[in-house]
Amino acid sequence: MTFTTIIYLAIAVMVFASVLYNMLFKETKVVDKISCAMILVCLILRIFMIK
Amino acid sequence: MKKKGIISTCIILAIAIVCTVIAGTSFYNKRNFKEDIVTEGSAVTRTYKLSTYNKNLKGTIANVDIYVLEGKEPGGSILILGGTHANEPAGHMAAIVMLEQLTVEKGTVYVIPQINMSGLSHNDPLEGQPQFIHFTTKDGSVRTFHFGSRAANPIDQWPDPDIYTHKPSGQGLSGSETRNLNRCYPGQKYGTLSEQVAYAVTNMINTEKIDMEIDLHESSPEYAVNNACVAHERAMAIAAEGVLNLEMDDISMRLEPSPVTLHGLTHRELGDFTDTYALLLEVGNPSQGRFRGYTDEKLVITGEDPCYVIAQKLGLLYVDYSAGNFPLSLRVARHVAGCAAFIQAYNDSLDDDARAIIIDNVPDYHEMVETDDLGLYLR
Repeated sequence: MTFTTIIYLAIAVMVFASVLYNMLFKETKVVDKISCAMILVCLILRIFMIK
Repeated sequence: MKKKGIISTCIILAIAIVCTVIAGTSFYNKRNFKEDIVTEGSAVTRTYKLSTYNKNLKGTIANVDIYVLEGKEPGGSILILGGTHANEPAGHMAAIVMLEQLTVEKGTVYVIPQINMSGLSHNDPLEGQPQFIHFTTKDGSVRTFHFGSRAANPIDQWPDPDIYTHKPSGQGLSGSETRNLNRCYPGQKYGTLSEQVAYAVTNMINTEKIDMEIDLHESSPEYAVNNACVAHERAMAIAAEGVLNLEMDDISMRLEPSPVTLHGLTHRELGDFTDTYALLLEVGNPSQGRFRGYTDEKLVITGEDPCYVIAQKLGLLYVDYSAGNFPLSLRVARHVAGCAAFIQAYNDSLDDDARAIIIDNVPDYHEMVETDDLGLYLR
């Protein structure tokens, strides 16, 4: 795994944590929570490098 | 958080997790699926790895098998590349059919059916194409093969630059073309994965002194270079005779010169950087064209698409779509017949037969088209 990939994964993990936090504690509308969930699916796959 | 909010959040999160597991499993299985290429009972005398020609490929997905069919007598040699663009299944399947069916009397046939294994391991996003294609063989068993992407998997090679600069020409292309193997020749030993694969192929041809190379492709039926052979200028005489041989067998094929200023392609760079006669074959593939409708395994195998029937009526196609289909069996048959015809033309070009390549047991074009069942030509 290259250094660039590690940085990429670290960024993806941070964005994932941020989106999850927003979904759980900030967003009040169901539509916004669904939007967060859809972003989380892609982020998890990226973090595990599944394509 | 209110109780109602907690419940809805939990439900949405649970659905997201289920979606992740379903999608992840699907992608993971695609990435890790190993095609079962049958060498038992075939004329394959040995297999070895592509990393023989570039050690940097060791341990990567691109370290694919090279299948070697050696004749009883020494002679010339040919390299057949399949799967360069993994969304062009006729090239991939024709290479497999040939390595499983051909016998070699004289010379050596090298076949690499999965030259872009990284591309085979995923699909193009948003194209809705199938992950796999299946064939039932004579004995009733079902064999599964990849349907992949034109480009290498971004897991193996990223990020794409804004502009891809081809080495050594300096030609600039769209950034995503950096993952297009057929824009990376002659390759770089320490470059991106695609460049490393291209380097290995170039090095293989130089090391083994391979006389002729044929790269098997497909293209959209609305694309002008179709049902065609693209030839490097040194290979033009052989290609012209091969095309005539095919015409004599009622197989119409255009002959296109390799553009001198379009770099990175096999028919240009392998001709320039090696002594091989470099050819590339194209055949129409409705499952990759932009006019296509619903895309599934049936479309890949039958080539039946009502949208292309309309396109044919409007005169927009470069293949004869009057039958309302363009099946994979026909497309593979064209590639197999093409390889046989160009080998014959190469033999005819020799002053003596010391470097001849004599192959046998070539599946008959007309029989393949008539039976329209590729499974019959797989072991």
